[in-house]
Amino acid sequence: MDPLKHLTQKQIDYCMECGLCTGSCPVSRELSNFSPRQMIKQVLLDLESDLMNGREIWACLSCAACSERCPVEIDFPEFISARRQQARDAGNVPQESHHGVLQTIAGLQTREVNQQRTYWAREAGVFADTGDVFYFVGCLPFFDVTFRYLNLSPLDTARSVLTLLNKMGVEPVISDHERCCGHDALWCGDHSTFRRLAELNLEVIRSSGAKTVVFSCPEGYVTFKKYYPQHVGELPFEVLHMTEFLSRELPNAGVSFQSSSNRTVTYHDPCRLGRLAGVYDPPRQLLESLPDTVLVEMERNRQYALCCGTSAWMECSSCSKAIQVERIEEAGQTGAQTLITACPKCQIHLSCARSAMDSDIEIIDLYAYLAMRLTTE
Amino acid sequence: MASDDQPQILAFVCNWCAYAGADLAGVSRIQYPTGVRLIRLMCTGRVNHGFLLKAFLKGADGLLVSG
Amino acid sequence: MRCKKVIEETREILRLLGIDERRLRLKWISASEGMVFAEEIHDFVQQLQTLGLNPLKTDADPILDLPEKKSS
Repeated sequence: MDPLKHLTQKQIDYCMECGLCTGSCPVSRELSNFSPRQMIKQVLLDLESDLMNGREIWACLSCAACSERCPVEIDFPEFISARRQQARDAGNVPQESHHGVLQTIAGLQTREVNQQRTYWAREAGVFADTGDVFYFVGCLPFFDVTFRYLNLSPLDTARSVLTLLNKMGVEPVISDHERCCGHDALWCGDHSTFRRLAELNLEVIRSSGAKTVVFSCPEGYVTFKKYYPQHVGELPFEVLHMTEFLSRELPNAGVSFQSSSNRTVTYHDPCRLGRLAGVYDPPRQLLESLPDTVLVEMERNRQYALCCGTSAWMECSSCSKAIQVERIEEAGQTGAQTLITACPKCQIHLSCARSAMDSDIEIIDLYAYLAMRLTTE
Repeated sequence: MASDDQPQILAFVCNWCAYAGADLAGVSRIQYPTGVRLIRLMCTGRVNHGFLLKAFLKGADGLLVSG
Repeated sequence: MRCKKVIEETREILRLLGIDERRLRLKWISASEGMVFAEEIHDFVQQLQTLGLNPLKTDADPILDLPEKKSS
């Protein structure tokens, strides 16, 4: 799993002469002592203990802006991930944000909990216990409580997804027994929690009989698609992101949308959906399919999109805030009235930064925006 | 002595109110179950979701927040 | 009052997780109310005995492993 293991001498030579990663890194611009290139050099020169004992290993956002441009194709997020567990085992732990509440919730979910997490779905639409399509809701019910102070309602995302699916004639499985996907545990170096959560989730999905699992959250999606097979083996079902599912199924589903007053929008690519999973077009197709809607791109978009500043609920700092402010200003410069996010965490982080800024750009989740634009009879 | 089946209670108490109250219970020799452990805070406003949930994760049977 | 809000929100999270919210109590006790404190603990212990021990407890949780418990 360690991407440095298979490097050729030529790749190493190129790497040592380069530095494109550090030049591309949003964290390096804010924290002068943070350098992906230096970290790789430390390991190649057998100075790994410096890396293991330092704070830098936790400062990486794993946003993959560096590896996107790396000429010798070193997967830097993978390089970091492979070392975080060792760092944690050695007692070097990350500074958890929000008092570690979300990591603790994930920890509790590894136990025999009897969750009651589908109350919102009973009010929002129709769902089932078994069926072909499983909607993996992710942490939204918990975010809805923990981020109430930002005047956000992350569950609107889930409600909107269910509304859209129901409109298309799909009654998805939504389960009370679903656990956290383990994304944060994995990136916090807590592999035992990650594996336990993965096993429990696979059991839940297997017992629902689903052939397709759809995700509105990019983190859940990439974790199932990329990291579950690596850690717990091949999955016996198809994994689809909701934007892929909708852009494929919506045009033939007879669902219509209406025009709206806030119609110039810009789209923020979540790093998990974009660079890590390669899904760039489906969300754009969805936005462009809406009547009278203009999608304007930010200066840095698609594979060059700026990260939302924090990952895996840890190490939130002035650096995170600076990145978020930069991103919101960039969105404002497009002239769009609305910034569309496709990841609950991007929405939370950018909304948090905006609350302290003089900016009137509205930050709306993609699915909530789509549901808002549905034609009302 | 705490027996194995006695509930373990973790109490988050304010230095100025409940901690002093618990202290008074002690000096007044009022009997109460021993399975309770106090965490003294300068104000119960210090309590957050993370503290409380972590206590359950670490095996507390009940939590008392008292100011 | 921040504390009250935190407690209410934590109760919501406990409900989502299926942990009995009666395991989390908030009680205002003043410095002169030693008796109230003792009664509250009595009452809470009684309630917890009917609810049973924390079902999510594992052997790997050492934090409440008190010294006197180890020696017994």
